[in-house]
Amino acid sequence: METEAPRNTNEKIDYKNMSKVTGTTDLRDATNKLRESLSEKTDRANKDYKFPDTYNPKMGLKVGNVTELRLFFRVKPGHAEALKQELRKFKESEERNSKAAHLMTGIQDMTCTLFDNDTRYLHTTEFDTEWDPYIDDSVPTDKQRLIYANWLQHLVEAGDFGPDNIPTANDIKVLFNQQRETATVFIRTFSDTVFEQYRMHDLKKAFEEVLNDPNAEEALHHPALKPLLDLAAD
Amino acid sequence: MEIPNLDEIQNGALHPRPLPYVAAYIFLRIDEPREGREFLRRLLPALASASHPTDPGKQAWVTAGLTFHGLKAMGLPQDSLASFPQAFREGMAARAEQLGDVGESGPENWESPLGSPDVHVALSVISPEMERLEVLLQCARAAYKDLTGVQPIWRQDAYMLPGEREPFGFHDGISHPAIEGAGIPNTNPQEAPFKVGEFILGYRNEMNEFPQLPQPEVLGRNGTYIVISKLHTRVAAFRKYLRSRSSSPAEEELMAAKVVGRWRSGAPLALATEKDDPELGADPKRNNNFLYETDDPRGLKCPLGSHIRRMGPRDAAITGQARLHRMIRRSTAYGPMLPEGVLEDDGADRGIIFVAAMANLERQFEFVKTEWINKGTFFGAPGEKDPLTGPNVGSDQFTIPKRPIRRKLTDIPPFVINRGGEYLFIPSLPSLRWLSELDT
Repeated sequence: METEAPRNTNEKIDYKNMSKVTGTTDLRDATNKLRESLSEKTDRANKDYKFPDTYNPKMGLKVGNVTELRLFFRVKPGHAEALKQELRKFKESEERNSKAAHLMTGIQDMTCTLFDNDTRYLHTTEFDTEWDPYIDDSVPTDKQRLIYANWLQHLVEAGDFGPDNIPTANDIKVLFNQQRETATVFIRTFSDTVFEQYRMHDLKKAFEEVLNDPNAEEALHHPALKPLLDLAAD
Repeated sequence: MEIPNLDEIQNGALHPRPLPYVAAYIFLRIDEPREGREFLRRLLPALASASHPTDPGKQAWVTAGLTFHGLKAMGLPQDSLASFPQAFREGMAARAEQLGDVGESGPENWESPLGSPDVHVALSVISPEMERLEVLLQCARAAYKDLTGVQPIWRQDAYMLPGEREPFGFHDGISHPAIEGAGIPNTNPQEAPFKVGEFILGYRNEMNEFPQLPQPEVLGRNGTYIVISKLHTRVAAFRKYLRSRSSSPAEEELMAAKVVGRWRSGAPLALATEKDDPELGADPKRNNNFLYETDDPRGLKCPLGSHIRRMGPRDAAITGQARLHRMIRRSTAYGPMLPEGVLEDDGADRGIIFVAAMANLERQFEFVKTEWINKGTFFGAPGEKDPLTGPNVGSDQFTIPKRPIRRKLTDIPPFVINRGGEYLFIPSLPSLRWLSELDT
């Protein structure tokens, strides 16, 4: 039966340890273990969660499958350096740097910018998929939400959220929704998904290997390979 | 670990269908709130709890659910009505367009009264044999027969087809998630049991959070949501399509298996790659015991876009988290099997009564439908839909990874049409009693 969870939580994510894991399974195991260890940290109930009337699930412009998201915040006075430090840790984490993580999050890019003399913060990201259906997937565990909490704690609009008061997925959903500005125009040269880009990368590498083979020219003269031969000159 | 209160949860929310099975789905309209509540009061003794899940006596049961219109018709106070999630309040018909149910599958073409405000209460009655089904149906009928304010408006019978197959001819009902503390064995030993809150309201879910709980607590706790929809299957079209793309019966069978992800016997391609293995297909200890990522990351055995790999990607590399989108599926078959070898449609209505239980309609059913069935972005094929159940329009394609060169099936027509469906709230037994005692 449920008991009131203790609210201890000065524990920080061990990014160094996280970065040792490789592959989807390892990453999942590691995050599950961390989830267990942190399971008592968040006891915020969504039981009676009310979404504000202003919540709009249609966020961001799209080019192909890629959606843009721009979030504007104010930095708490005196928190700029701490925020920068947390953002650098965020960048270094395994969850931003492994192929498994790239595929799992579908994030194409992300920039974290302090501006106006470090008083404001712009968080921009572009990702495959739709924003609203996938937001739960992007913060599925307490550990993931703690990572967000670590930098959200330095922002005015995030209020009391922080490592000792980890936001729920719905909290993050609503906060981001409130702080977003949809772009006027969104331009991308390509709109291939992260999965497709990995595949194209592999294909390019394989084709280069073929071209490096002395027998490639003869092989590529088969009529079925003409489209490849047409690309082989440079 | 939280333990679900099985004494309070309706059996139909968790229990796998009996084998064999016969079933009936009855939808009712409530014209008078007091009589509606009286109906619930009388019905209560006929409803089974989920306790003692392995008890052989628990093989036949009635499940009662209400639509949002039904809760209104029962006189539920406005505050309580407003505490339900938006998806449930709106209902399947209102969300059909975003679910991809358009054209032939659109609500304007649904079977009446499905998707209309007239559907208030749904009863699902299931049993291993006709005798017990009839007894349960009589109990259900007795609960409303002299209540003029409670009218049955739709009935659909279902029954197990030979070999426990669905109308396309595949052994189904194989993969079910285990739930912590529910006492129902896992069909995949490699899949960890799920937190109760993924399926039952009032408990922590896989995100370590509580699903939104309808208020007051007695109303929502130990309840769940069920999606029910009548899916008409175009079996002749499916067979003709496979025949037109194959040069031999063996190739036809392999192609069918690649579309589904299992052979007709139920043997998964992940374990039986080259040919069907009926012994494996019939073995519940082995036929769902597999993952994808280590042995088959590229889908050379089971295509990335095949039906079962979409419905349950397991550990495969995908965008998102597969465990957040699991449902308990309890579908049944309706209509006669199209005789073996027949390629022309005989005009019979046959298909599946899709039934799935979950705690979060948006994150589970609607996500699976819109992101996994209707698209392929999550595994790197944005333009492809589920080749079996997706809203294909005749110009769609399906990639079958294969050495030395992959194969593409093109011009896929629709094989499954939605004839209508509902989002149901399945209250706990105490919740039904509370509803029956409302005084509004």
